[in-house]
Amino acid sequence: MITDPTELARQFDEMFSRLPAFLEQVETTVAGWMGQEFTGTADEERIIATVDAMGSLAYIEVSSLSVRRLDNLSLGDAIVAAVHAAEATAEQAKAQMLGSLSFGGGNLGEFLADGGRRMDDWTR
Amino acid sequence: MRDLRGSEILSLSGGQAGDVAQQVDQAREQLRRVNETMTALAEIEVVGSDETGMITATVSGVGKLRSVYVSPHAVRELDNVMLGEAACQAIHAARAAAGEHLARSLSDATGEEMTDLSTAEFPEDPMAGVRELLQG
Repeated sequence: MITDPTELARQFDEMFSRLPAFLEQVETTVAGWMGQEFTGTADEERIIATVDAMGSLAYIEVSSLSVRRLDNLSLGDAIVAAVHAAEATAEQAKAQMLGSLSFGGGNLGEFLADGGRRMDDWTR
Repeated sequence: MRDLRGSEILSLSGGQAGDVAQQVDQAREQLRRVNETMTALAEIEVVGSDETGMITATVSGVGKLRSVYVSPHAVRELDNVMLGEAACQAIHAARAAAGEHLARSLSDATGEEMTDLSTAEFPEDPMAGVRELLQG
């Protein structure tokens, strides 16, 4: 831990001088990521769910073969499985995107996860 | 290093930071209530249906998809494309209902009006404010 105020001030200055470049990197990375869609499948890829970058469900494609070969209950379960798979892929992509944004020796993914843990501890 | 509690800030500052200490304690209490509400909401179930009522989706109070029920009638009446659209519609309806429920529960927990996130619009350029700030 740094205790020298001069050294602390120098490190703050250095960190803040890097801030504009970091924000530009955030903007470019987030803009690229926001336009993406992620899919998840079930029933041997005959049911496909697509979510946007935020994990919001965009659409579900069900093949005619799935409608013929699955009963109504299995069809519902397969739709849920496809949606969950698509959401998991989007979540993974988000974690990767945040992990790629580094600033001040750490990355945004770790920072946000750590922030969440600290908030939980603080309110306990 | 352990985080300070509001009362500790007050004693360390020799009584000069009464307002800050009170605000810190209030914020901590409010966040604790939000956490409790979110935990309770994760346990409840909210349902939504497509416009025909033949497909029903169930989500948790925080919007996690739990199940989709496709009625035998839907399998007979809808083709595969319509079935996919109807399932999507049912899931959206359930999540919208969960969003409204979430906003109401958070308002009750914090005593403040919450935006219904299911209908909230995101700004086109969320970074604009930060850029302006940096450019002076």
